[in-house]
Amino acid sequence: MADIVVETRNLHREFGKLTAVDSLDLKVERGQFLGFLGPNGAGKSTTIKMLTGLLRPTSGTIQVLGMDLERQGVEVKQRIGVVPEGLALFERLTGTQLLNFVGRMYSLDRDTAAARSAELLEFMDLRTSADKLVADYSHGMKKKIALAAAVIHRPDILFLDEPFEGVDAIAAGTLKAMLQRFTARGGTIFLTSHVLEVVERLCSHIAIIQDGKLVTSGSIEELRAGVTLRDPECAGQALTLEQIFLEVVGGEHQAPHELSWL
Amino acid sequence: MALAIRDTTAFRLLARLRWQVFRNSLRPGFKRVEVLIRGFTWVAGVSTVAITSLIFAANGYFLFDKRPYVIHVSLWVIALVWQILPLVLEGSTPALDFNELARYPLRFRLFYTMSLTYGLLDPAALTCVAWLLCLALGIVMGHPAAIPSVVIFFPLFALLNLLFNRVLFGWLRQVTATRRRREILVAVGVLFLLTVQVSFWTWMPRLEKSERKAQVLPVIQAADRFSPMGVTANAVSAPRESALVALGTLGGGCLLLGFLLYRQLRPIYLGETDSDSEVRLGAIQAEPGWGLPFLGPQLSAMVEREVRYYFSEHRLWVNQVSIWSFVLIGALAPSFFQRAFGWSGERRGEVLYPVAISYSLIVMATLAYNCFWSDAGGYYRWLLSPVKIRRVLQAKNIFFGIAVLVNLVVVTTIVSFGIPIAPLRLLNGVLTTMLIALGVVSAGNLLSGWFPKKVKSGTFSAKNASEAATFIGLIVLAAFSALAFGANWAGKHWQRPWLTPLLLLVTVLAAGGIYLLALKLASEYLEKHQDKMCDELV
Repeated sequence: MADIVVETRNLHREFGKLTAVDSLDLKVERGQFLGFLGPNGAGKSTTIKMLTGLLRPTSGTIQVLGMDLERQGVEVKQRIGVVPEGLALFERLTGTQLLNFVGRMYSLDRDTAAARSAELLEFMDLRTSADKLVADYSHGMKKKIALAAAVIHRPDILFLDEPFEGVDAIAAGTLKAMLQRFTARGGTIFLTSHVLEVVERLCSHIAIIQDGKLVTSGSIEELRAGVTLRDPECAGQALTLEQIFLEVVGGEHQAPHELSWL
Repeated sequence: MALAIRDTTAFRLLARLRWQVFRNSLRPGFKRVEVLIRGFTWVAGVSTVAITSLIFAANGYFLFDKRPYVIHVSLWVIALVWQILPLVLEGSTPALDFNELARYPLRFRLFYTMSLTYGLLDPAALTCVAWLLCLALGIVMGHPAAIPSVVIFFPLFALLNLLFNRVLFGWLRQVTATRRRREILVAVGVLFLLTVQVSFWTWMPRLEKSERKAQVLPVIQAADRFSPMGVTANAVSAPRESALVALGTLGGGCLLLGFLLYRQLRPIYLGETDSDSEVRLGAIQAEPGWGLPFLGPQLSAMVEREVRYYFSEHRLWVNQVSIWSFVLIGALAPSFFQRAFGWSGERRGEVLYPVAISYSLIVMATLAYNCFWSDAGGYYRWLLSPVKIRRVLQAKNIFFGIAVLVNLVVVTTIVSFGIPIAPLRLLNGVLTTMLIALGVVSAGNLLSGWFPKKVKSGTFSAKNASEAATFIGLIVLAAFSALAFGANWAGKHWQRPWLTPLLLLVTVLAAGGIYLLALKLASEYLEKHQDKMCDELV
């Protein structure tokens, strides 16, 4: 039987009258690299916030690594790493100080935290900026330091909200190499991204959410098998993730109204 | 083809924008008490402006020819408020970045005049214009002969102030465009104010009242004579002698400042920006974080972070140093107390120590009333870390405790330079500090959850806590100070010196219980209202 590391049951979140996540049942197995996709406002960030303890569900349950997030939040957080939307960085610390701080928050001893901080800064190519305040980092550098902070305690699962947004190709290459290495060693990654090419290349599994509801999930091959394009000219071609995505969320059929003045 | 926006539309939009930003800041929501207090502050402010405007009108009507120096003083008040109040209110009033308007289809001429209009719509400028109008009205109603000079020189004076204010803020914007320069400027600014005050208080008490008048008055008169305020006042009261000089000074000043404003606005209009672009090189310093005794790795790391943040906010520690400077003056300048309050050496010894401790605690208390002031986006980090929010509060309280302890040691050392402190008084001082600090931190934990406020760092007057938190916090501070005062009074009244520390000890123990209860309540509140805290801080 597969080892389920993230499981939600009937997960529901409302903001006033708006239902952001609606009865979401989701399962992620150990070692999966899951791409969690959806159009803007579909509920991706809300879901990832609930899975990481940043937001309380209105109803439903979340099990992470076999533990109930509501009751065993601290234990769960000890074993996950997160790059949230907004990055959650203390920007008036230097890169070194920030990583040291985060490492110690996960109860690493002082020497281990310091050694891993140095290693991560080197790996992320932030060596020359190690003593600069994070506030002075570029957007891409902040993404890299946020990812370094997410992995410093060697978590079992990584939750990444748009890790490649605003990151240049070189930095993205570094991040991708690190993430592939993480899953190759048995780690699980839960990633949201709008860059479908990257998701297609990196992820082993895909889940697509729309209007707060899970519309499909499975490996990319399973999704390809389950989707037939309506355009006869594309028949027989291997579908790209973008084509699958647009077919599933109905993007091609949501033709915008013509703007007469544009 | 895109059409450039029409001038009248632009001005109307700008006025509406300012009004909407202000109105949105009063929207009821999570912080009803905060909105209420802010609304009350504004009502009180408007009432004050109305009353003071009447005083300006009365000055103009009754005192224009009888006491002409009143017109000079009035113009100085107007000019100082116009230039200084916006600096004081920066960070606590709703505002928008005017320079953002440069990306809209405006011709430069309109962008320039909109900058002036934007400056004129500032609360301080509106107040000063109201005062100036009332002063002018008072003068022309009482003295119709002054109408021509008032009509010419008061508008010129207003324009000069407006231009100066825009140039000053433009310059500050340039200087503070990068974080490092901004921090240096704040530190230099606070140190400058501190130096001026320290010099004043050490110099003034040395002079007799008559000496003071003889030495200071000529300096003030000279400054007035050559200032736009003095020139304007002279031109209005004696136009035949002073009109040409005033026209040259005010007109020339306006032209010069107008040109400087042009030099500032042109690059902004063309899209040139400043940023932190300097690259610093350095090897990785893999020094381990702090390992504080009796605290685990998590608490150590959190306390270290608090300390680093405190020192990265120059405004805070410069404030702290300023308190110590005043205590030093008090300890080493007995003549000041003798002359100012008629206190003998013994009385000074009795009063200075508790006053120094209380004063420093009042200033430090704002650190506790909004203990998440420095967290902003980092607040998520607390929620992501494997730690209960109660531990985070404890870490912040430990930092506050360390700051209070350091302050107590420094204040005691400084005071004891000038006045010997008896052991019993020292004990009372320590217990009083503990009592008030426990009260402050208990209230602070609750207020930090009820009225969280994201603080914009690196501004001159950033407030560390919201108005409501500061108001309620001060009431709590007063209540705990009253307890300490009561204990001191009881010891003296019944002539039992040991009674004071005993009573203080009992109240400290009770305050410890209150602290634990407040910590529990605050932690529960923060866990329950996690979403609202994130909305407010992140």
